[in-house]
Amino acid sequence: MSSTGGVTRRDLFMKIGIFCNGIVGVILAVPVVRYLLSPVTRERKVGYESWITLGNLEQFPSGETRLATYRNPVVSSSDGDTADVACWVRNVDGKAFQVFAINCAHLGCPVRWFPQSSLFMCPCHGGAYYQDGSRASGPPERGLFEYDYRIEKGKLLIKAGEMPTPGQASNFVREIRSCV
Amino acid sequence: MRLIKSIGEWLDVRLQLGSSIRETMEHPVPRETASWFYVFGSAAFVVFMLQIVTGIMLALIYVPSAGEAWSSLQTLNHDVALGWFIRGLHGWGSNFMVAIVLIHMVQVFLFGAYKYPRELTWIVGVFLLLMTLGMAFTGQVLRFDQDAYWGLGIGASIASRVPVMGHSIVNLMLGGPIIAGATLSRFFALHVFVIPGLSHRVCGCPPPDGTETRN
Repeated sequence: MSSTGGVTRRDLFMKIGIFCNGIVGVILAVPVVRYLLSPVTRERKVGYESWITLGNLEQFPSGETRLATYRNPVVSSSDGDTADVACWVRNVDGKAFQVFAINCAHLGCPVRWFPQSSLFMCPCHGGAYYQDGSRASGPPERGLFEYDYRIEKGKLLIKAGEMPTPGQASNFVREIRSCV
Repeated sequence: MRLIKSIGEWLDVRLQLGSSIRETMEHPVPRETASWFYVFGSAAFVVFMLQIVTGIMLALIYVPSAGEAWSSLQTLNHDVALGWFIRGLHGWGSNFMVAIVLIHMVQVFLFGAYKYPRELTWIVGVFLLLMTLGMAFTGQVLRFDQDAYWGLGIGASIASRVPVMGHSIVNLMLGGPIIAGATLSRFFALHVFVIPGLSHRVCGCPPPDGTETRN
């Protein structure tokens, strides 16, 4: 079976076979990997992060903090209620606003506003924030995530589209300013 | 490269798989049986693997709900990178699977490869053929378009002609009185869990190609 050169016909065919199968495998694997990475690699379409209205300014009385919900700009037909995202709107003094993401800056649980104590509190691990969103106590290492807002024709708009997470370098969630 | 090799050796000492794989690959095939006609069994297996991989890919996007199946496939076609390609592979793969399995069966029949001691291989193969056809039918139902809907109607009409039990079988097949969400859910379960699980069990049964008896 073995030839003088040390490479048998059988060995050579096996190597050619493995090589050809490898090529076919790569041709099939590349589209599969690209498909899998689609949520990461697809370019952000227009409207990925866009200005969304939270409603009329009258809904948010001066000096108070109210819950609001908006429909996420990027939705698919099977999203159902999960595409309705909640956020906290603070009307500071009738002119300036703060809009906080519902997610705690620790691990993302929904914080709740307690007007009695003027604190946002998280039900999961006891994170607490002052009324301006800055960290009061507990495990979070920063204040609440805050949306950019603007006022147009008596309506409050925020720039939203992506769930804020502590690790992300997103440009729309600003670091909260320290408590004045 | 050296690291990969040493990890491979570490595993092989414990798993002891390498020598049997090597033996199979280096097994001398008698000259008179070295024929391209034997390729269809392996070809069916390759397409089967392709169907598993692309099927799992599709399941990441597809929604098995009567109200959303079609629109989730639109998302797949237009909003997911190469979604149309993966779907195309799975759809064409299913046609190829049926064709190759049938060719394989014809080859085994014409070569008399079903005879003693390989009768069980043939019997198991018949079950695998039925499962392949079952996968093809349940798979095209998942699109839940007009084809799927009226195809289910045909299936229900055929099933209804079973004496005495026909009506009950139709209700069982549709998961209710009409073709609706429950029908899609149960065909999804058949396509993704029941039939693949069964064929996985059945595939494990036949002796490995009967090559030992050939020696």
